[in-house]
Amino acid sequence: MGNAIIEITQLSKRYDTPEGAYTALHDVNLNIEEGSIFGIIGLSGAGKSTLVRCINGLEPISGGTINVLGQSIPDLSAKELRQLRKSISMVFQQYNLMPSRTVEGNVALALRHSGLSSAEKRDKTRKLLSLVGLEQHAQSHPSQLSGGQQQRVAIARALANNPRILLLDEATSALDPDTTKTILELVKRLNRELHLTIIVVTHQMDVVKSICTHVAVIDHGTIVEQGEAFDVFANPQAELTRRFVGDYTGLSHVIDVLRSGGAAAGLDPDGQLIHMSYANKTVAEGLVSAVTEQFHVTVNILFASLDIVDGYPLGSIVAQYSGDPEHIKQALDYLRGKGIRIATVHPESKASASTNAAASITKEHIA
Amino acid sequence: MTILEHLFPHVVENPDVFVQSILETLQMFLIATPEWFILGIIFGLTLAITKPGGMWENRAVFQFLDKLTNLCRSIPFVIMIALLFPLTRLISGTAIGVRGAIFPLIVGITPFFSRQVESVFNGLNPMLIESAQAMGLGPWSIIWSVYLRESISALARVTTITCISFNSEIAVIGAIGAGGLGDYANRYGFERNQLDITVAAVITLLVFITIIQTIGTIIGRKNEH
Ligand SMILES: Nc1ncnc2c1ncn2[C@@H]1O[C@H](COP(=O)(O)OP(=O)(O)O)[C@@H](O)[C@H]1O
Ligand SMILES: [Mg+2]
Repeated sequence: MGNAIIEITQLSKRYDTPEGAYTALHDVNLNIEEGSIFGIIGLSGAGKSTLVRCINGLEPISGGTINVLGQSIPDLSAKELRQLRKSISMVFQQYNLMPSRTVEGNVALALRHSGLSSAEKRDKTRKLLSLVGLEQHAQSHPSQLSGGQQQRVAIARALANNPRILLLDEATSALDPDTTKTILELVKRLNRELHLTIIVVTHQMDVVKSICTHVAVIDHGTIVEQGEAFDVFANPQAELTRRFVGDYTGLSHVIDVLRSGGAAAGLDPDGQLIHMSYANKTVAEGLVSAVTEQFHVTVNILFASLDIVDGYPLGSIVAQYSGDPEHIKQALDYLRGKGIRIATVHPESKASASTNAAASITKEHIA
Repeated sequence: MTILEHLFPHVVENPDVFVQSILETLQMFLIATPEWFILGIIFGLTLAITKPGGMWENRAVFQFLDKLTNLCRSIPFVIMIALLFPLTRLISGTAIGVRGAIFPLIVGITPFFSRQVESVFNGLNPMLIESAQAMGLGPWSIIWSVYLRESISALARVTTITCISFNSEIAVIGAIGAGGLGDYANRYGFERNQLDITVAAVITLLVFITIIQTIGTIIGRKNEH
């Protein structure tokens, strides 16, 4: 850990279209550490696929630098690039298995030019298929397999040349939630056991939350926020990030409900809506009830959730505070001092706006 | 034998001519087919990979082949034969008989087959090519392991269609001097008004086409997944 396996600076990518040049990426800066599971999240059309296609040189770049495994991608010859691609494997949303080949044949295709004898290839293919749990399907054709099984074949194929980097472009987006979970578990295992660096492109926060150590949020071709997954989740700064986190935790839904009828929800029109995020569940709940007595304020909890991000717990409470504004302020300051992140909720906006005084939560708050 | 004599009096009267014409048709078919097949695959593939956005994008090559194919396809086959006459003599030593027929037959059918092949390759899922590139496979490997390998079934289908069109070309060129069943039906059936000869030629061609279609279907089915 620690050294960057992928370094991208000021990357830009323009597509020439009949309507003129279209800037798909601009000023993208990323450092991806070896051994990390790096999430790239953004809405459809944000430029995620373009970015990963630049990493393995499928797409020529328009500006900036991009170094992968110590080699500058734009400076490589076609042959050197093909060689490097053996170390950077890619898995696609639509699996892209060769329909005419068996499962075994698909994996063996990646071993063309590997210099292995056909017996060694067969041996290696079998090992890879058993790694992804599909050894009994070696002779099946892709069309006979479920989506999840096909994606496992694609992963086995991607591992054939002992890559050091695995690029997953929406690899679980076509799968149901249960299958997604098993694929993500497999990915996590590959990261741990083979020490693979994994780039996970997705539009699902769920995916980032369950496996990523780091995340970059991409919006309209530029990175608006990046960092350790937990930090980004706990302290989302960019508007888009807050929306992703809010949608994921259910906060956006709560805000929708409040907006459409706060009175019906039994809310005090003069109360303040506060979003509290915290890293330690028991401490936080204790504190919330403690401030009620200590500062003479009423705290009406509307919504609470608990998540595990990158293996660390992260809690969220939306509550209405009523009482003397001065007391509320004192109560919130007190909570901030205890490591709880406080943000005011404006029902007009889609997410909780972090007030300028919002404290950051770090994993260190997890007692 | 009596039934045959009764149904096909003129055929039976001179069976050698009939057998000879079948052999000539088969000869033309078997000599020319491997050539147009290989040429069509090469041209079709070249069109598909040099097209704008293709794996080996090349404007000049694509435009040239594309225009040439269109030009050749717009010339009716009978006129093409006449047009090629001097060139055929130069290449084959003669412009008549089975030998003189091979060159114009190949020139006549290759553009048609090339277009069919091109459309097969253009119909291939581009993501398959992209994933092969991402695997680090080179262009020749991709041509062999993806383009050709993944298109066997569709190529069998268009080859069958082309074989059937090719049969009518053989009949046309046969009727104007190359021999074969076309000549047989024209000279003995049509000009001498012996309908049984024409019917015999039609039945023979029908059998021939059925065999081709069956083979094509079997190859196509075997490679469908
Ligand atoms: N080959 C291309 N030519 C022109 N525009 C493209 C091309 N590929 C992608 N784009 C455009 O670039 C933008 C980003 O696309 P993409 O990277 O696929 O987004 P994402 O993967 O985040 O959904 C989109 O607006 C898309 O239309
Ligand atoms: Mg995409």
